[in-house]
Amino acid sequence: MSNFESFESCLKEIENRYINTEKVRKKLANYDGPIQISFLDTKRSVMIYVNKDQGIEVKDNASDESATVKIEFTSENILLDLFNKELGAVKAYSSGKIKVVEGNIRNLMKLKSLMF
Amino acid sequence: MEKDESLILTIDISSTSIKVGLVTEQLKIKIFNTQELKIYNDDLDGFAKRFNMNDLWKKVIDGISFVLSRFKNTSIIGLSTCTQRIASVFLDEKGNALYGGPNIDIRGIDSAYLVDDAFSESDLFEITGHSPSLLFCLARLLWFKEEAEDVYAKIKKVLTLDDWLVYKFTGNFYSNLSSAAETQILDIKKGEWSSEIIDTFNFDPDFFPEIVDSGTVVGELKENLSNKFDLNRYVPFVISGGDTQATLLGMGAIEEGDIGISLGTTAPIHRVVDKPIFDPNCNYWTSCHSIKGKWLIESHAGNTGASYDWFKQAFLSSFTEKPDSLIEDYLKKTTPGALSTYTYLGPERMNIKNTTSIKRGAFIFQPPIMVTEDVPKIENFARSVLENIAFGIFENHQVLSNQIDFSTITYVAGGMAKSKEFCKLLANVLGNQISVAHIKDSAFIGAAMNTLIGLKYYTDYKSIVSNLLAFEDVKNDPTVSDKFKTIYIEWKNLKSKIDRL
Repeated sequence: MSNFESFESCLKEIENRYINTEKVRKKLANYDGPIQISFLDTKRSVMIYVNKDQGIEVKDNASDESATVKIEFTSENILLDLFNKELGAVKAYSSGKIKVVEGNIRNLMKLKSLMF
Repeated sequence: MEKDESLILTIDISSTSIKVGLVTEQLKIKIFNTQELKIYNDDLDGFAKRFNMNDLWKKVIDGISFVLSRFKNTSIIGLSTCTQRIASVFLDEKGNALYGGPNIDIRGIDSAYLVDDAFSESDLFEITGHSPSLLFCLARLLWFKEEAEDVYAKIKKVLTLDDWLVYKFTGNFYSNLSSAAETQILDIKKGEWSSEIIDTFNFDPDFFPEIVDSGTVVGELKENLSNKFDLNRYVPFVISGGDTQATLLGMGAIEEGDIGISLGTTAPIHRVVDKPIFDPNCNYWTSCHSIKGKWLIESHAGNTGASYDWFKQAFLSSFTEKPDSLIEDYLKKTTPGALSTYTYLGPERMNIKNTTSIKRGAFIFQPPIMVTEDVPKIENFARSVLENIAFGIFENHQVLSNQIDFSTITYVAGGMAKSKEFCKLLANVLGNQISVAHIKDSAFIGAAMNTLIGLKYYTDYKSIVSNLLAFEDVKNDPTVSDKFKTIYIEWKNLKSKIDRL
């Protein structure tokens, strides 16, 4: 049975991982760039604002062209599959279901713990 | 049956296989045995990978038993091993493997932030010559410290895969510069474990074995093993190190300015230098050669042999048992550019630290709806795969050859060098003559060369190369090279579009 049944529950989980996991906040202690996640099937965008280890804000239906990290998902279901562990992140990358449009490898490594 | 011949026992654990061979003092391979190297996923996401160390060791033992059974009554004068670079093994106090991970284990992605927060990219690169942090032993060790504290608490030794073989065969702990250089813990300039890195992360300095030069006798085969294999009591173990460095020795790339192309599962391209030189953009790696006082600058073309093998398996294996000779025929009967068929399977200029997405593979070709008979056939697709591989090598070769203001020799060895037609194609794409090692399985030869040095049969590698190695010079055809200049530009222009998919 899936733990995450809606898109919104995945977004909530991103917040929860940050708030409830000290290791995640530690990883992001020096990170404060805006992150944009876009979903090509619904044209939906989500912004994630991480303020180092001081807080996180996840804004649904928001976008920012100047975001330092931009990640594209081919569909919203991919996010659900990832959170429900029905799809591995490497497989999602290699099959083109997730694409990093913008962002350096150092920042992306830090963000992995929020989403995968 | 051969009798009373002196042979060197060599072992090469590459990215995909475990190979055990017997090599003569004249550097001829008498026999070798190949077994599959299995790699297991250690997480659902596919970032973490590991070996089964018991299975790996069993295959090494089985391989030795096999080759020795074919050459009984021979005298084994020495044993040497070389292995895939970057692979690491962590041992507990009893010498049991707590972890053994291959070169593709990127569990360090979860802990690399510790490295990146402690060191700027350029500062770390200036010490280690390697980037990005997620790939190497350093980040793996930190991963265990962060994510598996109970395992980390038991770690007593941090070894490269080659160091682990030294331990398994002799009971001794030693490393060498060619292996240690690929851990991101070695100070490349000083040739010693970096105290700055060890102190920063509070590692136990005793984790790391003593470093000696490749070609040093570091012990003898354990008694139980020499008994098991029915060998003479004293079989010296000579340390070699990284398989790529051994391959470079075996192909003859030992002098300053020499460029060596290792055509394995991937295609690292190295330039030999007399001092450590660091890429200011932290992209091209600086490593240590097997030869004291020689360093290497590495540019990497990516999955070349893997692409070739994939094409054979996916497109040819259903109708031929000899795909290599079929491809050889295809290359003979097709012309450069393969009817404007272009392939994009990954081989390209090294840009590893900025690789944030896995690119899509693609064939671009003239479809059958065109009003023409010139639609590509399987032979054109085959050629386009080989051209993609050659273009990827060319882009990296260009980076290294542009850094040299004197004439240089480009050496080639490895599995794909067995294809005469591919060697011709490569020489034409490079626009230069290439020197192809007579024995393509050069890692064996490199390990055997280290053995000859360790046993003092020779005092220097140059004498071994000039006395024992043979090469075939493959010249480029200037007319074909000119054609390839245009074809490469077309391929490259399309590539920029494919990369955005």
